[in-house]
Amino acid sequence: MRDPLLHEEPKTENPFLSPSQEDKPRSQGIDSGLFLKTTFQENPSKGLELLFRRFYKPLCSHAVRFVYSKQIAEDLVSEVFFQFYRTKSYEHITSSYTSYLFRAVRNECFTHLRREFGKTDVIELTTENTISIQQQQPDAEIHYNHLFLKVNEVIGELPTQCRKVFLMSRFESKKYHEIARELNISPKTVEVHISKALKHLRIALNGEWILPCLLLLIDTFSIQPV
Amino acid sequence: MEEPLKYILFEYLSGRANPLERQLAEDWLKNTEHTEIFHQWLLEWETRSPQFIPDQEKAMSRLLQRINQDNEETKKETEEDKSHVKSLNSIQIQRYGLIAASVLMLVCWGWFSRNLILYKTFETGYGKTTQIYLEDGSSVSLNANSRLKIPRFGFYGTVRNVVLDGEAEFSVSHTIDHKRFVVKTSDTFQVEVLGTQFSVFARPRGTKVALTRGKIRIDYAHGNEKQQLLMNPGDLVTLEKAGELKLTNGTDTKRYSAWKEQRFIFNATSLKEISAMIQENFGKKIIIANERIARRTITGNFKTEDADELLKTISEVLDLRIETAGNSIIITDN
Repeated sequence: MRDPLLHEEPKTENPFLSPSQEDKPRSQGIDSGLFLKTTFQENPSKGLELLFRRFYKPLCSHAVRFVYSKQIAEDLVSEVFFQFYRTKSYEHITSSYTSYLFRAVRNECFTHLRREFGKTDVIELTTENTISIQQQQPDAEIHYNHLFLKVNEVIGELPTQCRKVFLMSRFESKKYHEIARELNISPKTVEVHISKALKHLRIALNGEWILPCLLLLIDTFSIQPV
Repeated sequence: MEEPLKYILFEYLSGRANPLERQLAEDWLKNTEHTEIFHQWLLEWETRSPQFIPDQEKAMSRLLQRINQDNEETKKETEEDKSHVKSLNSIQIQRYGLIAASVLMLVCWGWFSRNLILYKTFETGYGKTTQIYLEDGSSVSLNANSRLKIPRFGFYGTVRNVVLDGEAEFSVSHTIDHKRFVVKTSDTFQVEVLGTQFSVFARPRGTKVALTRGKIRIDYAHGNEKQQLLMNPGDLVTLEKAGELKLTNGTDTKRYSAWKEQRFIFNATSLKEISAMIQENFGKKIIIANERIARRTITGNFKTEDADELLKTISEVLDLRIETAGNSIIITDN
């Protein structure tokens, strides 16, 4: 059994290497946390590039389960990488890179959804605060899971045409008139479908903000100065 | 034990787990020691069943570009910081600059809100009149739906300036130092007095000045020229919308300040004009069914404080019918 608390990441499974890295000798432990760590020490931008090439795709894939938009997912993941580099978080991360990045992305997604669908009077936490969170309450991961499963469920339950229009608009970032032309419906109908889907989401996700919010708040206060 | 758990977790993440499996997965997740491995599995899961394939290279170059930009900005900032350290002067200059900027801002704010600071405005609602006593001993009766702006800190200089929008009667007292009293109704029209009683009507419909006592001078612009007109008691000056000034001698000027006692004096006044008066004074919109009714006139003296009563009397005299619809009143033939 692997020790999950080790900084090193498992060498056994690495199907996510990009071809450019696979031609480098394995003996250097290309995907290991240790290797990344030394790279970050010697040349941070090189380290970032390695990290990015390895995690960008799976992180985007995960983010899209929350936000259901390729564009937003990519933006959120890029933001995580940018902040990771800008705030030099790589100098003092205590978990593995995988864990850090997934946590940050899930957190970003949660914040984004709350901003989009939650009530505005909820206390706002800046993204920088939430990204730097190193420890979390035990329930946080479960809440994140619930959140994206719920989004999934709501979108799955939408009437077929409504879902189709919504996905074209949101997932593919298509313009209203493009969708209207493609599906042979009026732009007004497109609008109605989309606002209906958004309304469903808003109602369904209504209860999702309260508890994690408190958790995040506690987290923010419990960060130890480095 | 790891593999089956991983499988259950994948099912759970895919939303396919049954309640038992769900419970199992969440119980396992509650243990924070498992978070690391959970994220490893998430990575594996997302790699195995990606939702979409983003353009990684494009995103990478965008990210690098953003980082470069950010670097340049911070470099600039640090360079600026260094130059500040080198010469204390620049810090001082910056500080003075800051002070200067604040003072400038304050002055700008004062300039833009000078009307608010320097002037006090009296305002009357629909159907209300009020009496204002000015500090120089003059008094002003302000009719309904009118605004009078007077200097907040008293009259200074050689001119007593007030601004009127609406209808008012002025009773101006003469000062020992012969201070002029000027009522401005627009940029191009003003009434100037030494001590007298007169009423001014300045509404969108037109401007009217009626002089009761004393002597006043009207300054107005005709085209681009500035012109003056002297008025004697009993004179009525009307400024039409077109900009023409009309002088009528020997009118009963009391008529133009009858509103002071909530009195309406009509002297062969058309219903059209009366409806305009009601709209000005009470804020009610009057719709007259046809031109023939609008041309009908009435002569008389009505004391009333509300539009409905006035209209009722008029309709009885002229045998018309009055209907109320919301805030507007419709006058039709009976």
